[in-house]
Amino acid sequence: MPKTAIIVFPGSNSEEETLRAVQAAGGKGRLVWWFEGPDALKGFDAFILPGGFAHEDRIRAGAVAARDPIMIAVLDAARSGAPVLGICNGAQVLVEAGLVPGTDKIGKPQAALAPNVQGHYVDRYAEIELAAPPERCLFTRHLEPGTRIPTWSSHGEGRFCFRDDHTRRRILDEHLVVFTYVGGAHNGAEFDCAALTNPPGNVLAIMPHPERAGWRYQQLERVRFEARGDREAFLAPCGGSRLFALFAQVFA
Amino acid sequence: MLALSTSELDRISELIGREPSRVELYAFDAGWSEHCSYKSSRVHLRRLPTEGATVLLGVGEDAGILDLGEVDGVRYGVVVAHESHNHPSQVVPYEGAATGIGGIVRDVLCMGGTLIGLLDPLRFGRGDLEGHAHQRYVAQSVVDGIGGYGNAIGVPNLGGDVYWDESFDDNCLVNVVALGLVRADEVVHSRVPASADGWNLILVGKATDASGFGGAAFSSLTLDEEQAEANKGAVQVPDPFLKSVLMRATYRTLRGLRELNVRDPGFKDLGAGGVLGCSAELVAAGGMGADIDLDAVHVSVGDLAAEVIATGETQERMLWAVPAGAPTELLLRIYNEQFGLPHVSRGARASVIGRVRADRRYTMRHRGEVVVDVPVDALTSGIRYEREIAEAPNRESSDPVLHGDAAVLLLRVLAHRDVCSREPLIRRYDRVVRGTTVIPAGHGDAGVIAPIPGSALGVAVSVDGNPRYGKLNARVAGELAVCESARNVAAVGGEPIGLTDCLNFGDPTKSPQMGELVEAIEGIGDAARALGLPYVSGNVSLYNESAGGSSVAPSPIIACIGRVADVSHTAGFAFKSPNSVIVLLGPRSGALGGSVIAEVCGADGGMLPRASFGALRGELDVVRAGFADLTIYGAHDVSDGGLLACVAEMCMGADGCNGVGARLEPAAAWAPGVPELAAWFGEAGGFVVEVPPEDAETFIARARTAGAQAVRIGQTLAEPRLIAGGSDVALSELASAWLTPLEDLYA
Repeated sequence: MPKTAIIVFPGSNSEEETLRAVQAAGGKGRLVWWFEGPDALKGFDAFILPGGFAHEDRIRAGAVAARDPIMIAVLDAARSGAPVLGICNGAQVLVEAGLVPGTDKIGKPQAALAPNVQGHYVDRYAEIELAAPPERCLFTRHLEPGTRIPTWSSHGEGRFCFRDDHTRRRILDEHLVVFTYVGGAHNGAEFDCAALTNPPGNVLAIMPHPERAGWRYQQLERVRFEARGDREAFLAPCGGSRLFALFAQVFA
Repeated sequence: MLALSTSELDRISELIGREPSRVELYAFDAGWSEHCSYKSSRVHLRRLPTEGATVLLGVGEDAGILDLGEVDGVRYGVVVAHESHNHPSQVVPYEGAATGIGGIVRDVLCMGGTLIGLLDPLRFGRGDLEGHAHQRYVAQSVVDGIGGYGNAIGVPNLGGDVYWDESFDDNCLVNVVALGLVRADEVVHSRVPASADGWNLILVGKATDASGFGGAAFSSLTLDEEQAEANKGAVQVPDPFLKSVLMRATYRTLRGLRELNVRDPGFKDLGAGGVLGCSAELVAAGGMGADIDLDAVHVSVGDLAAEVIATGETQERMLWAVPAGAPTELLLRIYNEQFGLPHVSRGARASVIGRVRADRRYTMRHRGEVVVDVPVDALTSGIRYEREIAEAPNRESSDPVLHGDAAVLLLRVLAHRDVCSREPLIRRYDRVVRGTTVIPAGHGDAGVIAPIPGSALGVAVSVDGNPRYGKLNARVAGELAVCESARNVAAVGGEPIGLTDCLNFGDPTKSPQMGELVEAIEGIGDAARALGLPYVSGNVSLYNESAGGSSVAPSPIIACIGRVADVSHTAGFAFKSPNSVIVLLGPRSGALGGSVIAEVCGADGGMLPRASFGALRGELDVVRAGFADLTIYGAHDVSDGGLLACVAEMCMGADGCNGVGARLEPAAAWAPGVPELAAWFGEAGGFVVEVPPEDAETFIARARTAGAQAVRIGQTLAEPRLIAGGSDVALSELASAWLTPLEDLYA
């Protein structure tokens, strides 16, 4: 059984439920706090950067956290093929760190997460759809093509933007947009992108939160209603939980 | 600027036997302010019910605690706090609203609680109308401030409400309710224990600066246009980033102290009166005194005056009382080294600033000089006034006769600012962080969370208070606020177990305004007693006035907390299925006072609907029983906009796309003798309940046995239409009227 580290920066706020989502999917892990330093990440097989406002989102969302010393270990692990999942603020950190979709030859990030078109924070339910071939990304290999997954989108800067047309072509050719928003991106993201991977497919930056729609009780009224009165089913993992399945598997 | 009166100054000299020092003057100014001492309201607040089987910890500390129940042999409590930040939010809306959240979060934290939810009742001036740019700015910035703070610290918004009224043009109301979760055996108190002689007092958090100086006194005066600039200095500066780290460091400290078997540490939020107000109350509540060294207080700039360090209200600070030795070392290590507060915010840290002493004397030293030396009780016992009370004006009158077409009026009612969808506003708040949300704000009459991972035990919570009612009759408005909050909790499947109040009124030195406060206290007390619900915390905010000196709409705002035995037995208000029977609980009446329909029709006057407590108890019981044995699908309370707006919302659902229609019988069939438009749109309280057809008869019989009036008024339809009152409207048309009005301000 692999061990997953949920990395807590100063300002992270979704660490507890993210750990619970890993455990609910059958995985093992623990919170690793920024002050434990990069060495504390030795012995972990997979990494999650949870939601929040790491380092107060100073300069830009994720910009300072991407340069936090603990990220040295995450970058090394990502480059050696370990699974790294960034959710919401965690996705912003991965993009700022240049892990998704990758950097150019001189190390410049090829994407950014710009403010939503609304110009402010938006909290709403959002269904996402697998837009890449399932085998494109480690986290989706077990899913059927076109699988839809419920999530809750809660962010102010979630609009995926790409550097130039050359990058856009590469993104499309290499199927790096793993999930798109059903019905279009409410935040104005290019290609309706909800989640972006890197070329090897071991790093996934996802803006909406699967762990906020990862149990039956968190689903929309109609889905909850199907299990009404059934306590066990109500508290059972479903929906967004499927994106955490990898953390319970032995990695290739 | 001191707010003390000359007679109060004389009292101080008498009490301490000499002229007070400069720092002592500021100390009394804060300690005796309305904000801290409740000097006008306390004698009346005693009449509220505060005891009951569900009370784990009653009023008197930073927050009260209600008994939520047991999970695996462990008893859990819900920590409940209710505060206002009205004046700061009017002067500096973003910071004022944000620090309102910041302050109340500390109240919950200091009881040993984990933050599990926030609710925000808001009252704005006419910011929704053209030509009211400032009110619009306030309405937008307050919501930005709440989101900016609450979203960052990761506490979900569970509800709230918003009303718009010209009486709030110069004085908005920004109240906030915070909930926490605590194990009953791990409650921490806002007082030192009897064994605390010689314990260290440790100040934790932001470096003290000059912000928030004079805050307690400022919030106890009426807002003066000319002093607006000067008052800005009395508003604190929010730092949600520091708070986010402080919260997590505090959770770890609480755990660490338990591991060291430290019994009964003292822990209190620094709010009004700063270091002095907090430390004096913390030790006085345990019958002790303290010696404080102001030079040990960590400050952001070197040359702060002693009275600023002593009483300034810099945000993000709390005070611990723990034994010297290992507990003190643990605390300093966690805050200063592990979580590295100094790296999070410049100058932030934990500092030992004084010691508890056994003799009830309170001293402060600054640069070698004693600047305060008084009996601690002189500071904390405050003063009381028996204000002159004039009879509160009752502005009710005979009900108007309304005319119009129900379908046309429904569209206008749904688009009314007090009825329309709150979704554009609520979307500014994070409703689902922590992953515990079951019914998000806006999807049910109350928010529901399951705060204990793996357990089905839940909390339901709603906050209510209608200023249109307050304007007509403060006492009845208070009664109705209690009834509505309890109904809302029941409407999602919760069992009401307790209340918290925030009383927002005008100038207590004006006898009619004082009269309104006293009447409202009577009203909220009577209703609570009738429903068997205790108050476990509360707040009073006075001097809320317009520039012209008239009071804001008297606003008793009530939150009801409910226990949910099993969250799989809860539901939001949206209709679940076609062919359900629609049952109305609660009689209709001709009362139209304060109603949305009267305003839409341009009619004046009217009577407020009256609560029938006995019938309401029956309604609450039968709705709860229906959720418990799954014989109802869901419920929605009848309030703003009346019955037809209520049914329309159930058809539309929170997102407007639910698509279950309804056909309602003619009003004469279920409300004989009531004028037709009053039946459709009157705001007499009640429930609309969706019942599966096979259970309808039993449900109605059960309700009648319980003493509630129950009548079948129609059925749900597969077609997305609302057929009622001789008209037939597509739900899409209703939705476009209902969903969009607040988009202009918030989308």
